[in-house]
Amino acid sequence: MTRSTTSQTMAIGHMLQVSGRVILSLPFAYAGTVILLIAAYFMRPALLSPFLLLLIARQAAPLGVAVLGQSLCMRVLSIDLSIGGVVVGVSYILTSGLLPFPDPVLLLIAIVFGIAVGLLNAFFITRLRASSVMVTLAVTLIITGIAVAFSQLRSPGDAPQILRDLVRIKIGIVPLALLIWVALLIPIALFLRKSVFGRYIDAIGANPRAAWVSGIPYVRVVTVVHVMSSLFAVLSGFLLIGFVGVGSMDLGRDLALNSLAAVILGGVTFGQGKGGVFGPTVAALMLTFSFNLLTSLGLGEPAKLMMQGLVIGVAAAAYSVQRKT
Amino acid sequence: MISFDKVTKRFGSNLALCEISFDCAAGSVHAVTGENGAGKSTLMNLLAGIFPADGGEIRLRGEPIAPERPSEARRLGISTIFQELTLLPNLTIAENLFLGREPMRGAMVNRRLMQERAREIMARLGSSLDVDTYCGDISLADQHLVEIAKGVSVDADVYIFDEPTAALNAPEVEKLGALLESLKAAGKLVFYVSHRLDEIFRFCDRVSVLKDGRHVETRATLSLTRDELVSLMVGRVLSQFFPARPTPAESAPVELGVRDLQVVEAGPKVSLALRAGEIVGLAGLEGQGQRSIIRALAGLHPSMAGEVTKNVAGEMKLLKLSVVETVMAGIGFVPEDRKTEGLYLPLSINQNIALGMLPRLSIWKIAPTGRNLIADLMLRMNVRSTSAGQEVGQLSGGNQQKVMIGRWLAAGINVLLLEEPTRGVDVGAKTEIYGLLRDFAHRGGAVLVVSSELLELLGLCDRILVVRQNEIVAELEGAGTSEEEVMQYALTGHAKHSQASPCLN
Repeated sequence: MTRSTTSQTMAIGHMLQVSGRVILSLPFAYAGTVILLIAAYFMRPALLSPFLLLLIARQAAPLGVAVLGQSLCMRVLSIDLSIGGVVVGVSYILTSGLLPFPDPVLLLIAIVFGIAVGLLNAFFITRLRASSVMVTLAVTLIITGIAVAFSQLRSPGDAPQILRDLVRIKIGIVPLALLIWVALLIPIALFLRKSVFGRYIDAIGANPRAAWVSGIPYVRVVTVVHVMSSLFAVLSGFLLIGFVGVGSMDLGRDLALNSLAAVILGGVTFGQGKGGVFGPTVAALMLTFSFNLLTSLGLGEPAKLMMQGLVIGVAAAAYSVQRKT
Repeated sequence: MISFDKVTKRFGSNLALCEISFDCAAGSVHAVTGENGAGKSTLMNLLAGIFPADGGEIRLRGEPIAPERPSEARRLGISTIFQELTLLPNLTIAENLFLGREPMRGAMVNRRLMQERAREIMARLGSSLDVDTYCGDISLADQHLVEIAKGVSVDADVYIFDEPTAALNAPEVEKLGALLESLKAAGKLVFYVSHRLDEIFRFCDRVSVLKDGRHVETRATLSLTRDELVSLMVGRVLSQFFPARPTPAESAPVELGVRDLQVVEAGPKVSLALRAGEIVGLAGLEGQGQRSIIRALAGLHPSMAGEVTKNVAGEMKLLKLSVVETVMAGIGFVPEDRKTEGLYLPLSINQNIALGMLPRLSIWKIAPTGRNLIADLMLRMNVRSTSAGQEVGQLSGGNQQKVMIGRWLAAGINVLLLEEPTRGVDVGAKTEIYGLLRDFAHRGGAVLVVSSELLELLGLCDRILVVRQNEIVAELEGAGTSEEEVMQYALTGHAKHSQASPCLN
């Protein structure tokens, strides 16, 4: 073998090695999406028609919006399991008719409700140093409990017309819901990249103790993060209610868990924002697509549950391994 | 009993120990001394099985040994009393003493016997603490005493005391002396790691001096004078090591004024003033309140009373002592533990330094990248790295320290508070850091340093304030004082009756 071919094979080997490393360092959602699309191509090619893909993307919008908030929480070493509770609360406020106001006022009340939940979460987490898992889980249970209690009195009814229209409108062939989602993404990604707020999120995620010692306004940043997360959950609720057309106590039940899975698949782990905003977004699409694929294969709900569990379990294990090294 | 033969240890590219060779005899107390970072603890950690040596041999009674973990060292008959506390706060003193080797009766712990033996051990140290007290409830000095008791209660041939007196008060140091005597009489070998001259001369038979990871000399303490020992430890002219002190400017404005600051409930009141252009040191024995004072100024330690004022554009403004406020007012704090409190290890050098530029900005604003400023700073501070994008966690201790200081330089602050500015930093980087601090002062900044390395304070500071029991007991000229004088104040709170203070430099 001549010297040049050796160096050539070595160069190719090196390239493979480098590209392998790059793929591994990318969020799993990217590779996962490709794998799923290939699988669908062989098993259910019908899913790949542009019409269905757009429909699936639209279906992914509520999850995608909620994921934005969840990823922010996880980047500052917090978590938001109250997303589901917020959606239930929003659904009850908007559809029960208990509050005798016109729709725009109800939407406003729902937004204020979201801010209040975010502030409550943040208060317990930052001031009382309570575990974010416990606090947000408790908040979800309390809100759901209250909503269920009230629903004895007056059950949820039809969704406001404005929301039903919102999700039905298409611009060209693209659903408006999808456009809203995408329109949120870019400014948020830019804001996180360029702003003082984004820098602080990275710092708190990397070392909260150092952030405190060096005078970073920890309480303010984490409070803003939780309020944002709740507001995203409210918007997510608007979209969901629009899709379904009627309020329900089951709405958004697995949103918190799915958003958690999507954030992790999207390359954001506790305290690390490597996947940015786009990793979790792709993961939201990937998860929604995979649920559709599973349903079309006749595996439905059980497989979906198993997959959610698997994603979260594997991610947690990967995270602790990463921590130790 | 123990021989070191060309023992070598590296940490990454850093040579921590280089061909150390000396012997130690049974029935003696053998001091291992040297400046911080000289390699004393590293050498003892090899013996204690914390990490293995990279070269050379350690022999126990002629047999080569290489303990790979602490339990193995203990089995070989080597017991270590660590500098850091290893006690579990939610267990009692007795439970801590016998952790992992509880006296058993069948499958159950024999509590009565355990308490009895624990009482015996504590009595040997002259302590009357109730052995059923939880370790989390006793004072720091008592915890150290229990730590010592724990090490001594193990039946071993070799005992390692790593800076045992750091947190002890004078009467407990006395008891420790008696304990060392009894171990010696029982034919044990005791390693006594310390840089306190007093204790070395009082307790130890022989002393090995290390410097920058090399063995300088092993001598009988009786054949040495204090001055000889100090020059063996320092081994170089101090003035080469530290930047020159400028002649003090008489009329420099006060940058930070502290009046009647109280850092412990009903404790003494501290007043001091930091002027532009000067470096002031807080000296004293460990745990005397220097840390609380500097942390109170940084807004990290609660202060009971007192007022702190900061020069803002020529006017002294009253300062609220919270971290966010002090940083906003232009005061930067460099903590001792850079890994847990100072740096963002997974973030890049760039990100770490750039965070310093943000405090005065609203969180909704666009953050400046400050690329040029950071590049300038890195050049000025001589940060050795592959690029500004390198993770800070991969840098050496000295370069990490520079990044931490650099963050505050980027912030444009003019008062710098530092805790142990050169802990775990190699000698070359130390000199550079001293230069940086002097340069900062020269540009009109004011620096307050807490350090347990007295030689560092003596070489670096314009003024030294000696702290004893949360009180400033003396103010000394850095250039005109000596280790002895500072120690005298630190130990007793007042000057020696016959004033004779030979200068170090």
